[in-house]
Amino acid sequence: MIEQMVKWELRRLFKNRKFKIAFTLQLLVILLIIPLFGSYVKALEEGGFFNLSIGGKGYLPIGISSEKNSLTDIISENKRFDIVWVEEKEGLELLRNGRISAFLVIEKEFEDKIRSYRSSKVEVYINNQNPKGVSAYSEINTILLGFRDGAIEARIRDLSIVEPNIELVSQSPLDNNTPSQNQTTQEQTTENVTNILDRPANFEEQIERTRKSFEDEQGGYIVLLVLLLPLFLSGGMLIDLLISEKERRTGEMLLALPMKREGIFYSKFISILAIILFQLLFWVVALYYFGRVTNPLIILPLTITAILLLSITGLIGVYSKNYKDSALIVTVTFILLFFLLFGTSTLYVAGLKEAAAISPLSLVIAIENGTYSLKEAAISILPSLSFSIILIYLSTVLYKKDEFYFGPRPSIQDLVFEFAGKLRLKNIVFSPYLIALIFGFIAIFISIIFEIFFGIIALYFTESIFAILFIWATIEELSKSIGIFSAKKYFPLKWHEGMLAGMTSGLGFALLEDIIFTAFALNLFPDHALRVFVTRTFLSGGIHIVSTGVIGIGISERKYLVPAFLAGILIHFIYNITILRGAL
Amino acid sequence: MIEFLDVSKFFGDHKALDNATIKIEDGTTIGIVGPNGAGKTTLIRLLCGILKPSKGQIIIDGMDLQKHPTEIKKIIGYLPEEPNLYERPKAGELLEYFGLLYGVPKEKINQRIDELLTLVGLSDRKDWKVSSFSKGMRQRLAISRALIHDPKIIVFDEPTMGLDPLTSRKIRDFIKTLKKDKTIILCTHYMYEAEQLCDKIAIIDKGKIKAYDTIENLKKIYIKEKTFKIGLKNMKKDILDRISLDKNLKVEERGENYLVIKARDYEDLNYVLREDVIYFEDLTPSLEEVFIELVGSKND
Ligand SMILES: Nc1ncnc2c1ncn2[C@@H]1O[C@H](COP(=O)(O)OP(=O)(O)OP(=O)(O)O)[C@@H](O)[C@H]1O
Ligand SMILES: [Mg+2]
Repeated sequence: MIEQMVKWELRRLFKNRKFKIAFTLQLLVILLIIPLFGSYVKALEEGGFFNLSIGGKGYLPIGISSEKNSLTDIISENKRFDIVWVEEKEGLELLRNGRISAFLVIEKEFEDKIRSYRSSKVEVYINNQNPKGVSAYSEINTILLGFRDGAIEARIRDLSIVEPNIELVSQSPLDNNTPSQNQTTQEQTTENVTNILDRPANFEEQIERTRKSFEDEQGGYIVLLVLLLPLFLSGGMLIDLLISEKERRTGEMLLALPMKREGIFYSKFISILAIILFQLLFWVVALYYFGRVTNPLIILPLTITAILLLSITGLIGVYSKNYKDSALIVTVTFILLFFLLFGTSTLYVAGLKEAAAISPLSLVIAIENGTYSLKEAAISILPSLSFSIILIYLSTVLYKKDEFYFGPRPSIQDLVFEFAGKLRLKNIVFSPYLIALIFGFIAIFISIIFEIFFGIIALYFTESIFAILFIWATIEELSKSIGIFSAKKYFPLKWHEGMLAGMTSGLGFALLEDIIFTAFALNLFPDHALRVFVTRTFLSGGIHIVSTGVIGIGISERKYLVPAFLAGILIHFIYNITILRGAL
Repeated sequence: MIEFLDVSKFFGDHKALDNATIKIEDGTTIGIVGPNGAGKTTLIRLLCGILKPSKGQIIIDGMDLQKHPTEIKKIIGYLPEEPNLYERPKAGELLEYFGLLYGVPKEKINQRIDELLTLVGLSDRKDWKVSSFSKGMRQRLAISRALIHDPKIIVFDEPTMGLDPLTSRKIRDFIKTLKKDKTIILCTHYMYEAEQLCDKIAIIDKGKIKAYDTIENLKKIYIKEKTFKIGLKNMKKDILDRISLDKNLKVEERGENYLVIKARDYEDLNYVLREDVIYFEDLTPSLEEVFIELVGSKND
């Protein structure tokens, strides 16, 4: 039955001329992207990827005071630099006038010192008032770091000795009687003063390799960008399949079919998944063929991502009444998802590998770089997969309900109420608290989104950490209060019941927050994870429960609404400040 | 046999069907009539397993619809109220798809499609896209879609709505040909359509079943008296006196040279008709008017 339906959906899709065009275009896009992709990689080879400044060849005028050596060779390879070779005095003058955006002073015996593994010094001057200064600095810095790492690795390889101590010395402008608006960074390759043989060939090769591997990491990142953008487009198709049946009212014929209702949902899901898988396969094979992907295994995490995407869009399709309805939800979800997926993979490239590992996209990068392990793969795949399964299950539960085709569509609150009502424990009295608890779980996601959003806005207008802490306290308390309002919608609450509902909502919030924090702590500083867990559970947990409990009183006794909210927020805010003080 | 046992359906707080109990014997044709929003479509959707009852039980062929939905749905052919079809496929493809979904064997499907399209008069349109069909053609295609698996129970929700009289008649004639060995449930606004096609009629209003019986019985129950208008050359006093004394007759209206009289039947009027009658009219209300009275009086 499902098989029949999938065939039909696919046939119907491919009968559609517009879809056929879109599908072909999406496949071809990859072929277009391959040369583009090649030039991307080339651009990488010429300069740092993380430098997001626009501009092409000769965009950054810099000055160098040095003899030619292996470092200046690498710098001159970067086409973005327009290099003037000058004496130190003259260079500083040019920098001050804004004629160049950065100025490098490299020691005379640089090449000799480096080759004999002795410490050498490079000074980078930038003019803070020159808008290109930062870009230039970042590019130069990338090169210097690559150079340093290469030098170190070369030495380690040659001598099989332990890694030396590396220092990156930041020098304040005043110390070095440099011009006051200039910033100096000193790059040092420290050394053992032992006499070491000169091994130039090996040395250069090693530098080259280090630089390559650094770029390769970002290569995987671009593969992602290229592959995932079209995937996002495909998510819309599932929504279309689900909603068009509602809008054109053709779904009634399907509902009358002798099959389980969820079968209809599965058919549509599988149809689109099949299309996406085909596209992915095509792309990965094409990229592999053209040498842009090194390991076709990346299809696995990409598939998981596709399933995640479809399970989210599927739920949206089931829940939405019509296209307009879905458009809003889709936009918001896609923005979030985009940030989540790319945010984590950016974290990954930036080096926060443990925290970023939960994203399947990080696994794509890891596979590309050949650095993945089974554990890493599991961490990347399992959370997304289980989340998808939960969402798919939820979609089928909703799809089975008459209301999602015929209306009136229940609100999320109604659904939670229905669910909470089912779980009643003999005594009906538990229901409001269960509702509050569930919304407490939901509240953490709501508040994270708003905290990021308003946090950034607040940072833009004021740098006061207090303002941000206050805004965050307000956001968290408001999110947690949704649970109390929802409970009150279905049950009349007296003040102590309102307080209890508030406390359960706070508890739900704190529980989930705890788990998230501890998971991060386990990743980032495993030694402190237990401490984080304990303090969070007993301190923050308690505060969340108390503050929202106070608000609960206000919500159940309307006349205290405003003062209760103020009190709740204040408690939370004061706690936040105390924690901050403690941390500092 | 189809049985509704105390079935109710709520949409939110709104009761669309209210404790409906109804039994439909195999092989009969049932008409469901009622004003807009009465709950006809709701009743039919419940019967087809498209809506789940909020309360009560629906038993079809001895099986509970809630427990064996797929088995029961196989024997039901359903024409929805708004017969929206997929636009892109050709008529034949659409029928083939639903045929396969209903489990019609692949080798028999083409024959069945041709048969049905001929029956509804669309045999020359098999390879036309649905989007090119007119409203009447769509309705006929939708009917053949509902019948593709040769169901035992046929459910039509307002099959002639919005069609011209000729097409409506064609469809009614077609339904008559189906009557022989099927159970048909027909939802309609038109009492004459129900009178023409159905063995039994259920009158439904505001979610409640007001009456459910054969047409004969409904007439007997609701049309107790007939009304006649008789034009007389000269209104003789003795006749008028006799009429007014006659317990079987009731004068509704008295004009200069006519009378409107209510009577159980013609025979009671025999002696009046022996006079010089200029004209004679039967003003007895039809079932349609009964229906209007039945549901209208409480609606206003
Ligand atoms: N999905 C729904 N949500 C809310 N109310 C509904 C829904 N479906 C039907 N109703 C209500 O239930 C009642 C019965 O509707 P139904 O469609 O069964 O009427 P009907 O007799 O078929 O009317 P019509 O002759 O106009 O087709 C109406 O009052 C309608 O407003
Ligand atoms: Mg209707």
